[in-house]
Amino acid sequence: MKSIYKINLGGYKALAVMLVSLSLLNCSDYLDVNTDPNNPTVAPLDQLLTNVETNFNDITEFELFSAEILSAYVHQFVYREEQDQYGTKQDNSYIQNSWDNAYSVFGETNIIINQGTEENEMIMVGMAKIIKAYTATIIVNIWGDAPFSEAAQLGNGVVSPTFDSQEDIYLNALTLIDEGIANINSGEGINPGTQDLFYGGSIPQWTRFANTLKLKLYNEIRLSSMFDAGKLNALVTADNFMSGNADDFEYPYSTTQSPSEERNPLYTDSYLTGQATHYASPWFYEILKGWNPNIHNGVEDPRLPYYFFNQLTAGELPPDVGDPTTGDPKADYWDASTGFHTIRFGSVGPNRDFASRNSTTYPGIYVCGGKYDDGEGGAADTNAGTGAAPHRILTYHEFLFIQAELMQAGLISGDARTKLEEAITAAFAKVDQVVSNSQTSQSVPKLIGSSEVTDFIDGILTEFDAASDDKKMEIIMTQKWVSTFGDPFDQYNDYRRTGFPILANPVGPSPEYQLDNGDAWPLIDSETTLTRPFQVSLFWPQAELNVNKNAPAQKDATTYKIFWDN
Amino acid sequence: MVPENTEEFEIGADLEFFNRRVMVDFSWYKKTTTDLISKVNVPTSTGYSSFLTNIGEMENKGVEVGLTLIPVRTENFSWTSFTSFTKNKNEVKELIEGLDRFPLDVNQVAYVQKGQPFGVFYGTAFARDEEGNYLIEEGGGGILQATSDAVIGDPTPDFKIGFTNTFKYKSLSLRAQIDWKEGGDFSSSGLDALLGRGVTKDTEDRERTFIIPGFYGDPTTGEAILDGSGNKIPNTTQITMNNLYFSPTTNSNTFGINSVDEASIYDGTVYRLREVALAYDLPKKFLEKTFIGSLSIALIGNNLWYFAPNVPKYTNYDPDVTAYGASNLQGIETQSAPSSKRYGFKINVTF
Repeated sequence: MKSIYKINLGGYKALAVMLVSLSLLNCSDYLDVNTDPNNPTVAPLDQLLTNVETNFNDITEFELFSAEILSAYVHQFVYREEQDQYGTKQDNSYIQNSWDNAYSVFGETNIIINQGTEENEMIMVGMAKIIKAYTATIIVNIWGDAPFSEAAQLGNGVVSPTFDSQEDIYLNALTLIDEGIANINSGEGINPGTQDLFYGGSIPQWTRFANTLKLKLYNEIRLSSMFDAGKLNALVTADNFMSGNADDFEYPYSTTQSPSEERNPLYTDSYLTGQATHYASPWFYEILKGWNPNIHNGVEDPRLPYYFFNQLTAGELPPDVGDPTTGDPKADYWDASTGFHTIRFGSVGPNRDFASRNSTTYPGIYVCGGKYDDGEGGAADTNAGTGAAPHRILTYHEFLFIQAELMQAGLISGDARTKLEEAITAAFAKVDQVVSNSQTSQSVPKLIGSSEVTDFIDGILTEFDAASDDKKMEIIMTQKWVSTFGDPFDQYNDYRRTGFPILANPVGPSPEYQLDNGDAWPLIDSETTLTRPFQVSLFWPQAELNVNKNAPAQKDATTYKIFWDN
Repeated sequence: MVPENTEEFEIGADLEFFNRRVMVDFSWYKKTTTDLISKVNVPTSTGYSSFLTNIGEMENKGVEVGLTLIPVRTENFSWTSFTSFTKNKNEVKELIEGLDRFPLDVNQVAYVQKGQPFGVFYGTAFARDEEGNYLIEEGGGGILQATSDAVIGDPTPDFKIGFTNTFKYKSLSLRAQIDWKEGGDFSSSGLDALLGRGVTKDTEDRERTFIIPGFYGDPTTGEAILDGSGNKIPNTTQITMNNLYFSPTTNSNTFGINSVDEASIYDGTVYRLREVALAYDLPKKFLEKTFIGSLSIALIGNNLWYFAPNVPKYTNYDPDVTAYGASNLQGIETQSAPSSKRYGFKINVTF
C-alpha cells in the first residue's frame, strides 16, 4: 500500500489506483482480519503433551495442590492451617487447584486425542489416553463422582457437565488405558522424544508403566464388586511391569531457576520461605525411630536423615523462643537427643504457634532435594539443598509393595515376605538414586550395602515372621507408607482401603507419643485434640458447585466414601 | 453471540425559578440491557475457566436530581451552590439457562446472581441461628462458618450526594466540593491485615478478654447446641484481642485474618472534601498590550479530608480505595496503596 501514498496524482487517478489495488487485495485473504497469525488456534501436539504432563504432575503436588492436604491426612507432615484435624473446607484453594488442573489435563488430552487421531499421531494419542485415564482415577479417588463423559466439552456447548458415577469413570479409565497401550505400540506417528518428560518417548517404558498402573488400579478395587480376578491374572501372566527404578513414573525437577523455576515445589515452598510451612509429623518420626509400641518397635529406620533435616544439633536449645535461663524449649514437640523439632497433629498446646523458622525440622534430601542431615545442624535456607528431587508418582518399589499386598491378600501367587524384602531393598536403592542425582555438595553415604540397612531389613522381617496375617498386612502397608514418603495421594488411598498404617489419634489412648526428654517440660497428651472425623473423600470444590447447575449438593466429606472403600 | 442491546426510558424536568436563582434538574430513568455480554466463569470441569457470551438481562433504575441555588448575586460577588443527588438500583433480571450465579473473578467475592445487583458479594459467612445470633465454637470462642455460602454484601451505594459551593468576588473564585456516599459495602483484606497483625491503635487494648455474643453451635449441622432442657447455651468463652482479629482455631472465625469472607466486609459510607480550588483571573486590562489572551492561576487541593464512620477508626482507611479500578469488580480491596491528598498549582494561559 505504501506506493499509493508516494504517487501524488490528481484525485481521479489516485482513486483509480486505490480501486485497482483493493480489487487485487481482495483476491487474496489479506483483509481476512478475523484470523490472527500471531495467536495460532492449533497447537503442535508434542508441545501440548509436555504441558499435559506438567499439569498432570501438579494434581498431586505440594505447594499449591492436594499434597498439602493429603500429607496431613496421612500424617507425614503437620500444618497449622485448616487441614490439621482433617478440617479442610469446601472452598480450600488446594482442592480447587488440583481439580482445575485435572480438568485442564482432560481438555488438553482431548485435543491431542481428537487432533492426533485425525493426523494419525497415534503414539502421542496413546500417551494422552493413558494420562487422561490416570487423571480420571485420581479424580475418583479424591472426590468420587465427578464430570467425565461431559467434561472439557465447552466447545460443544456443555457449560455444566453432569457428574458421572465413580464406577463408570473407573471402568472407562481402565478401557482407555488398554486403548492407550495399543496406540503407543501401533508405531504410527511421530515419537515426541524429549518433549515427553516422563520417559523421553520410550515406548517399552510407557508400556511397562501402563501395565503397572493397571496393576495398581486392580489392587485398589480388589475389595469392590468391580474386581475381576481373570483380568488381574491375565495382567500378571503377561508380566510386563516396571523392572527397576529406571522405569519409575516420576516428574523430574532440576536445579534450574531460570527461565523457569524447575526445582521441587516442596523445596521452594519450605526452604525459600520466611516461615516454616511443612512440619514433620512426630507420629511418622517415632515410627522411623522404632519408638512406636505397635509397629516396627525397636527397629530404627536408617532413612531418617535422608527424610528429614534437623536445623538443631542434639541438645541445642531451640533458638526462636526457647528460654536459655530456664532451659524451657517452648516447643510443641522437640527431641533433645537429636534436635528434631516440630508440632503435633491436632495440637492446641501453648507452644504450637510460636515462630520456629530457625528451630523446626525440614523436609530432607530424598523428599524434596533438601539437605541431608549429617547431624551438624545448620540453617534451612537457600544454601541448604538443591531442590533437584523428582516428584515420585508411581515407582518400581511401590509396584513391589503392591505385589506384596496382593500376595498377602491371596490374590496372586508368590511369597509376600520375599516380595516385601525386595520392595524395601528397592526403596533404599531409590533413596540412593535420588541422592546421587540431586547434585548435592554434601557427602552423603550410600544406604545400599550398609549394615544399618541390613539390620533394618532383618528387623522388619523378624517382626513380619512373628506376625498374624492381619499384622503382616499392616507391616506391608506401613513400610509402603514409609517408603513412598512425599507421595501422599497413594497413601491416602491405601489408608482408606486397608486401614493401615495406624495413624496418630489425639483422642486415643495415652501416651500418644513416646518422646521423653527427661526434663521439666514433658509432652502433655491433653494438648492434642481431634474435633472432627477423618475425611473419607475431599469436598468437591465449592466454586464448581456454585457454577455447575448439574452438580450435586455438597457432600459430607466424612461419610462420602469412594466405591472401593469398605 | 448476538449484539448487546440497551433500551432506556427517561423522564426529566428542568425548572427555573426567581430569575434563574433556583434551578432544578430532575430525571428518572430505567435502562434495560438485554443480551448483556460478559465473560462467564464456567465450571473448570468444562476444561476452561471462562467464555464470552450473552449472559442475560440487567436493569438499572434510578433518579438524578440537580439543585442549583444562587443565594447571592451582585455585581462583584456571587455565591452559587449546586447539590446533586443520585441513586441507582441495579438488578440482574435474567441469567442464561444453566447459570444461577457466577463469580466475576474466581478469587474474589464479586458475583453475578439473578435477582441481585451486578457484582454482589457472595461467599463464606458467619453461622447464625434463626434469630440471627452468632453460633460460637465450643472451646474456640470464635464464630462458626455457615454451612452454605451466602450473599454477604452489596458494593452499590444507597445514594450519593455532592455539594459544590462556589464563591466569586471580582476575579477571585473559591470552589469547594463535598461528597457524601451512603452505604455500599466493600471487602478489604488490607483491613484484615491491619487488625489481625495489631498494627493500629484500634487493637491497643490487649490486657483484657472479649466474649463474642452468641450461642454455642455445632460445626457440622450449623445449628445451636441445646442443653438438657432444650435451651441454647450462651457463649462464655473468652478470647484475647489478638484472637478477636486473628481466628484462633479452624472452626473459630473472628473479625480479621483467616476468617470467613463475611468478616472482611465493611460499610463504605464516606464523607469527603473532594476538592477546594482558589482561582484568580487576571483582569483583561493588564493583558491588553501583550500577546496573551487570558491568564488565570489556581491553587487546587484534592481529597483533602474524609471521614468513614463505619471503618475501624485508627486504620484511617479510605473505603474508595479498590484493587480493580474501573472494572466490573467494585468495592474490593486487596492490600492496595492508600489514597492520597493532592495539591496543585495551575496556570492557564491562552494566546
